Parts: sequence; structure tokens; C-alpha cells
Amino acid sequence: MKEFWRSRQCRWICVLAAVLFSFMICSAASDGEAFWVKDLISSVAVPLQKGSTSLARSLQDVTGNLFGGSLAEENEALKEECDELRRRLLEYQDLKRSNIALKELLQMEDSEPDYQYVEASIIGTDPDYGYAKIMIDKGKRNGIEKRDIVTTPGGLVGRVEETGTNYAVVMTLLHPQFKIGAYLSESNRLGVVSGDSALSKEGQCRLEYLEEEPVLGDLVATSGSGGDCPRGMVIGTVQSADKQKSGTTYSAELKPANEIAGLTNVFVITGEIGQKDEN
Amino acid sequence: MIFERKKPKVRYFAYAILLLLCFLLQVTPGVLELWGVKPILVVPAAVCIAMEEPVLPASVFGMAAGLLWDFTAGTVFGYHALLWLLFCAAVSLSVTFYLSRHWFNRFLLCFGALLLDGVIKTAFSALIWQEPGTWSFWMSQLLPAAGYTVFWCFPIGSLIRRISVFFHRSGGLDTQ
Repeated sequence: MKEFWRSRQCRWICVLAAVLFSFMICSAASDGEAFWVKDLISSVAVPLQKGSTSLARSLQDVTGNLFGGSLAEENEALKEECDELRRRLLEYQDLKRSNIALKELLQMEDSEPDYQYVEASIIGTDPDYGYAKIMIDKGKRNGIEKRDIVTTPGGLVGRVEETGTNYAVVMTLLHPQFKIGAYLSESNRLGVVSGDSALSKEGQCRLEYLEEEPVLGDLVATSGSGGDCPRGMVIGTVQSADKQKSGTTYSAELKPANEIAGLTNVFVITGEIGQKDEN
Repeated sequence: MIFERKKPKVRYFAYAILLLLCFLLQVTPGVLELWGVKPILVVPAAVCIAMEEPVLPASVFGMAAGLLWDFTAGTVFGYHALLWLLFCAAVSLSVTFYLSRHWFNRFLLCFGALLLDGVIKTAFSALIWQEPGTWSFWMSQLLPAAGYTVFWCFPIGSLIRRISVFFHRSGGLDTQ
């Protein structure tokens, strides 16, 4: 054993350890840009991950069709949800028409920005945090940058944390370090949506710093504060509420609009929205 | 004669393919997932290779496993590579001088490695970054993942043992 410490093998291990430590320091200082070694690994790993994910999904589709089981129940629940959404769509269309008419009357101009979307597939998850961090198969060469918002037609998924040439790492709203400004649709009260390690296991997140107790079932959407996210993007619904430790504000458990674990494809909003720095 | 000379390279190539396969199974969403918990398959692969190989190849494979884990993990790039480089070197030295290649030792070393990694991460999360719910995350995610991963020591370890015995290294560690 003593000879090992004087051997060439020990020296090589020390050299490798020093190199890896320098990688860690450079990576920590890179601020959202993928470290070049990681980019190198991605040139091999990402195509393999895409292949294995496609294969896994094909097998899951086949077994799902063979063993229908819960699909019938899910189908029924989705039909009911569809009916409810159709009813709300009619109400929305009526409101929109009267809104347009009123704007014309007051001679107000519409100022909704245009968003560009890049569609991406989910090809990997974080071994420790599960679906709190996901990897997608599009990166810098597709125009994706750090802090771009990631979404689906159902609502918010998360924010891009790191970009490589052909991949990006997305921090979803289940991650404890994720935070975004939000508001309750019924009361218009502002709060902050953040992830929680304990709740992420159940696929839920938290809404904090509410001035009054939220209504159960209330919709929560992004407030657009800070300019890093479009306003009005659905985040989820309130499941339960409680007073925070401070005793003056309330927090609520949210069920996200998207079942993050069940997602296969997402959309990344590229362009000006999402590039602003945190204050 | 040529095959005799190329045996180590072919053996290492087989290990590399197995490590890559473990990585793909580990990161593919929905595969091998039980109640929201996925195994970290590169760990038993790296530990079992380290138990079969001399210290330098063991360290290199540990580093490779760590680099693959770093690629999809949310930690600083190089953290797992450094941790596994040193841990696999320690495993290889332990097997050379103190421990036998008994199955119980494989499970123990694998679980111990995951526990060490979990403790470091939990310490950072809870004490430095002060993320909410860290302790319950430890109980509900990290500990079950470690237990589930240790289960995979058996099939992966068997495969690595077969590869090692098949190529029949000359000299070096005693077989058992």
C-alpha cells in the first residue's frame, strides 16, 4: 500500500483530479454556457439519448395499447375536461369580442408582442432531481439561450438554465431553485411560484407571499414581472393553502397545468422575452 | 497471439459499452422508473469495474462514469467525475489489499458511495443554499434511489465479472 503513494499510478490520479477540479471551477464560472467538455460529450450522448428515448416511447405506446387499463378512465376524464373547456371558450370569445369593440371605441392600439417558438423533445432527466431538471434536444444552434421560457399549450414548464450546441438543460417549476412571479386569476393578487423538494415528488410546487388566503381551485398564471416571462401563462391550480411561518402571508400548494413527468415535447420561447437579467 | 496482446483493450471496450448502456438506461425518461424513483446505473457499473481492475483503469472508468453522470446532473460539471475518480481508486485499492470480491462487499461499497454523494449534496442544499424540503427530499428521493440502485449491483456486477473472467487477466488481482 505504501508503494502505491510513490507509484506512477498515484501521480496520474493526482493529475486527473487536478484537471477535474479545474473543470469544476471553469464550469461554475461559465454562467449558463455549457462547458466545452460537456459540449464534446453532447455530440455523442445527445444523439444516443434521442434514439433511446424514441425507442422507449415506442415501446410504451405498444404496451399502453395492449394493456388499455387506465386509458379508458383517462379518456372519460379528458372528455369531461374538453366539454368544460368548450364552454369556457365560448365565454372567452364573447368577452374578446366586446373587448375589441370597446378598444375600438376608445381608439386603443393592441400591443401584444410576437413570440418565436422552438419545439424540442425531452431526452433526459436529472438522476437526482428527476423531472425537476430535464434535458431537451435543441440548443444554441437553434437559437435557444439561457433564461428562455419553456412551455406547452397547457402552460408553463420552466426556464432554460444551461445551453449547449445541440442540447439545453431546463429547470422546471418543480426545482427548489425555480422562482417566477405569478398572480391568482380570481383575486388578481400577486405571489411567487417556486419549487419545493418535498412537493416535487408529487409533481407539485408552491405559491408563496400571498397577502390573503387563496381560493381552492383558483388558476395561477405568470405575472410577467421583471420582463422575463410573458404575462398570463397558466402555471397551475391551487390545491391547498396555509399561513407561512411569518404569520402575515399565505402559501399554497399548486398542481401544475402540465404533468411534467408525462411530457414528451415542449416549446421554447426564443427572442427578446426571456433574455433580461435578474435584478 | 494478437488477441492475447489486445485482451485488455477489448475488455476495456466492453466495459465502456456497458457503461454507456447503463447511462442511457439511467437518463431515458420513464425507463426503469418505480414510483418516481430511477436507479443511477453508472454507479454499480463503476464500482464493480473498480473491484475487478487495477487502480488506474478503475479510476479512469470511475471518472468516465462521473462525467456521464455530470452531463445530465444539475451539479457543477466535474463534481461527480472527481468524486468517482477518487472513490473508484479507493475501491480498487481496498479490494487489492483488504477486501474480497464478495457480493456483500459490492452492495456495501455501492450503497456507501451513494450515501456519501447524498450527504454531500444534502449538506449543500440544506446548509448552504437553504433549499426548502431538503430533508424530506433525502428521505423520499435520494435514499430510495440509493436502495433501488444497489439492487442493480447484482445483474451489472455479474456481467462485469463474466467479462473480467472471460478475458482472464494475467497477473494482478486474485480471482474469487
